[in-house]
Amino acid sequence: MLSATLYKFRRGLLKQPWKILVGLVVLAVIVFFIAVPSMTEDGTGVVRNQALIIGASSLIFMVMFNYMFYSGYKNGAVGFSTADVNFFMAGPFTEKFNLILAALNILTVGAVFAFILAFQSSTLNMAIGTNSFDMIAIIIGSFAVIVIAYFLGAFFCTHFDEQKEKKRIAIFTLIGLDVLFVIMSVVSLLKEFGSFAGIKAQGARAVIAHIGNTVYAKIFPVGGWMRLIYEGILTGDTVYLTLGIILIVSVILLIVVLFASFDINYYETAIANAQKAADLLAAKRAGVDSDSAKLSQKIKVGKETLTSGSGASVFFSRHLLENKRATKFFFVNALAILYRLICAVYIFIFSRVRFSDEGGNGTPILIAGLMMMLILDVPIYGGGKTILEFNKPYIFLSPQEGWKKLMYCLMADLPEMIFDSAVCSALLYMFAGITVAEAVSAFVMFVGFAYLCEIVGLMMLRMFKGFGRYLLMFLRSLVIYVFMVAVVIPSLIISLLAKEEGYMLFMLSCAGISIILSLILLLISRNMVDKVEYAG
Amino acid sequence: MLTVNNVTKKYKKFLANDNLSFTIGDGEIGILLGPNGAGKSTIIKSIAGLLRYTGDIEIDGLDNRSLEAKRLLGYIPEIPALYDTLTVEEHLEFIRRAYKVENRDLMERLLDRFELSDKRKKMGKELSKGMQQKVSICCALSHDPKVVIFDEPMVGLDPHAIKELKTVFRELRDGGKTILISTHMIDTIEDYWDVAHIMVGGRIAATRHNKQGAAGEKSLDELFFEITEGQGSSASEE
Repeated sequence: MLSATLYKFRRGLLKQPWKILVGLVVLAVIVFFIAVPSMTEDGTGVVRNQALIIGASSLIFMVMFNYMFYSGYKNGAVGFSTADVNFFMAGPFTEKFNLILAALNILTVGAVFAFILAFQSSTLNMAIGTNSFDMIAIIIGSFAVIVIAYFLGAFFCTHFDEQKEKKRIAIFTLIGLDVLFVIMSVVSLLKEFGSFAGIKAQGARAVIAHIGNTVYAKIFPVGGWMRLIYEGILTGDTVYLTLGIILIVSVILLIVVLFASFDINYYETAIANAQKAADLLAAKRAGVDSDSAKLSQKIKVGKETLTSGSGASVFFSRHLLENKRATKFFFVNALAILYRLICAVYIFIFSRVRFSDEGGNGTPILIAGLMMMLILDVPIYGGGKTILEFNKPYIFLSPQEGWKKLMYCLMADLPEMIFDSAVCSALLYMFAGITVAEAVSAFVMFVGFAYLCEIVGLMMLRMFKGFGRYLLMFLRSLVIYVFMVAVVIPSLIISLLAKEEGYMLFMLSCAGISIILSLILLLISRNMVDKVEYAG
Repeated sequence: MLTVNNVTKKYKKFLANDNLSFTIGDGEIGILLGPNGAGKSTIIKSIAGLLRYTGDIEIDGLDNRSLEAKRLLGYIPEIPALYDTLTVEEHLEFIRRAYKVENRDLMERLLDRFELSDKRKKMGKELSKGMQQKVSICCALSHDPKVVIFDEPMVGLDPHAIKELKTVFRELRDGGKTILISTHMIDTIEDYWDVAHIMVGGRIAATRHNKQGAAGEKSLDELFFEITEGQGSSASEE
């Protein structure tokens, strides 16, 4: 089985050697992001707040533990493909032996989280002063916490699969622990700083440093124990280090004993998960990203139906109907809402942790927020609904001019782009301290970028259709980012030349350049319905 | 009438269709038979205007990429391509509006005929493969096309739906329509076909016309197995 898995992996790389290149790029990006904090240390003598770094790491470990325990508890054994179900589960292997497959896949999940954390190195460096060593420790620690937490959760899912009441005890215990931790943390904060006003006056960083260093944080399962190891290494405290290692090794041994000694019954959930994974893979092959596919699985039929449109315009009506069915409002994109919520939390935390107690201006928050929003524009619009239309035959078959059908599809995306852009500019207004006029400029800029993403996505489909969907999606993201840079740099130059004090000219320049680029690209690709081949 | 003239289609270096030519007349059912990878789906998709190729394809004397030709064509893909969050009824309504068909009678008749009336509020993602195939067939027929091309239409259908579909084939033929069906399931085509092209390696290896009482000739499946199992490769025109 192991040799088959390795063979599958080796063969995959041989057939698609570009995956090696992508892997190397990802690795280079991780190393770069981790190394950035050390490279940019300016030696100005900023005092390193070790308590804050340990406290923040402690909270990261705890969040990871909670999230992955719940994931394991909910999903049981994930990572089985439908082929695994057919060959391994139906084959002469024990359930425990087959679980090794799942173990390998959880390592992949851990690696993805490691990448996400590495990507946040600069943010964490600016926010709490982590250096490269801290980042490596946080990534390795999180990786271990993720794997342990998942297996613990998965044990409760698979062992108590048919005893729902007993199964629930595990999750209620975890919730209880979390609630207890929050209560004890608040009590401890009040004891330290006197009152809620006193806590507020200390600022977010002091609060994180305090909470993450209480005894409750140290004894918190797995996350807290990993924190002990980290603190032991940083401070040279051998007691913490030894205690942490003993506890982590014990929990790993406990997992081995649990899975080896108790009955586990995970085939049913594994088969269901394999089906879900196959559905998501099919969606991905059709060009839909995973989050969109997951959101689509929850959509139900309501009162709305198709009542307008004729000829090419029915594509417009259908898109609006699909939007309305997904979110109740034709102008709301569910994926955009999800990603903007992430943006809001990110900007909020960033603004509170870094700058609230320094009285600086909002430029770094604006840059961080803008970057995050534009990065997320790529999955939202880069593979948007118009692009997905090319995965069905109807846009090719219906008897209207190709450019008309394309325009109606693009028009249908406008309402949600307008709403999403309004949300983005409102977030920047609230957290980055921009003026109303700048927020309006930001709104126009976001609409411009959204269309640029969509039209570059279309162009990529037109040019590289034969490259296969995965490579196409990778290239699409890469090229969209290149176009974004091509918009931002001249806009910055214009803004600098005009010696602008605010951001309005910069944003309007971005809007203007992205709209001009979009129009040029649209002109080039207007006949793509007649030129592109159907991929179904 | 459907005319395919010297059509060649390449996927990079792979020659999927090699200089194919054939004609299916009005009121005729043509069959494309062949093993997997013979190039049947490729020529079907080319006829539907979904692929780029060299050569000429005409639908009722019109270039297949023209709007007039598109109006005359109905296409049933091998893998049903439904919108996940559109209901069965909305799929048909979408096609009706796209093709500017005024009345809903044909749409309603098709829903009844393929036993989809009680599923009209189900979304595409909620349907089984067979149900999706039925919706796909209804969509293709709902604008009353003159030329209908079916790519492996029986796959996934239950016996009752297969029986109904065969009746539809005959009715369409009797109504003067041109039908082209691609299939590798030789046992499903019975005797309702008028002309059969056996494809191997992107070429037509043999063409057989269905003539009643032609004595002493090989049956279609004998000919098919002879060609596809490599015992003979020369084209035979009956």
